Amino acid sequence: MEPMQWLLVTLAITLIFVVFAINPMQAATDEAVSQNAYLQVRRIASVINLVASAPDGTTYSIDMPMQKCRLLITKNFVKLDVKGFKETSETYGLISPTGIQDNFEYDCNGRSIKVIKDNGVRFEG
Amino acid sequence: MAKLDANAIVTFIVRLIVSFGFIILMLVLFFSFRVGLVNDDMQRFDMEMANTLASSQLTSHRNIFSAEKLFAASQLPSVCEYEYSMSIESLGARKVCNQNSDCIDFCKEVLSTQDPEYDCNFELFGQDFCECKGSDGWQDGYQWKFGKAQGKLYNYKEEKFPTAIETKTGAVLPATITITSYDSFLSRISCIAQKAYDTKSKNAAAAE
Repeated sequence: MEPMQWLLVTLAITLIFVVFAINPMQAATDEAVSQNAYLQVRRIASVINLVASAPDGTTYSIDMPMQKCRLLITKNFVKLDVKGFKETSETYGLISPTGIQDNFEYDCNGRSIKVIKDNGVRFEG
Repeated sequence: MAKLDANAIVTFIVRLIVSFGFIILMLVLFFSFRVGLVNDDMQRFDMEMANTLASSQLTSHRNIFSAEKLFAASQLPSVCEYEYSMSIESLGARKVCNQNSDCIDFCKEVLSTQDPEYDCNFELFGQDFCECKGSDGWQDGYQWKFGKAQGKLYNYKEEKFPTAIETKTGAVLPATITITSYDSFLSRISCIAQKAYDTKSKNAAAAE
């Protein structure tokens, strides 16, 4: 084989490998991030903290992870139990006073919740 | 029987090694790929706390802190995860003076006391300005500090944000709010205790 043919074959093999391997790897990374209970619970706490100090009428919609999980929001913290490959539970504190009227429990499954500032903070599933 | 060409064999082997070397190099590069996730938790906490304070009871309007309310401040917003300290300093509030007595009223207002310690600071170049002695030393404008780190510190993050102060006379001065969050042994332990208590309270309420 000529040198150019060798180079082409080598590049082709490498490209095939990269093209077929990068998608599953990207998907695995996305999955790991979405299943990371700590990141999710931090994200939800962050939104509540910001909405709590926003003017009345402010609404924010949070997309929940696709896998089975249970969310609990109280006046002081957010707790997320994720039932994935292994069960994990994470809790994160909220900046008090939050203005949250009642505890909120929610079964996520890729659904979203609305955080609404309306003379306090309330949630809609 | 065909003759083996030594040159062709050597060339073939060299090309083979180069090609496999290239593929292995690409594999190594590919598999050494790592995803690094930086959450900047404490920095985000500082921003969220500044945002919360900007619309708290300490302000007269959003992001305009009231000097009167700051002098009377008793309870600040709190969070389980981190301890934090907050300081607010006015910018460009210096009062020009010629003698010490020019500073009495200024220091009474800045320190909110009837018997302030004051001084007309001599400047070799530029105009002299008033300084008042507060709890943290001499200051040439409004200054409040709340909170401090306690116990063994693992990490801390300091962020500054622009804000404003409304004085007792109604004037609005530009200011800076500095939020410093601390990740300490004490905050971690107390946070675990608080979460345990809150979870237990919640479960107990559900069981009743």
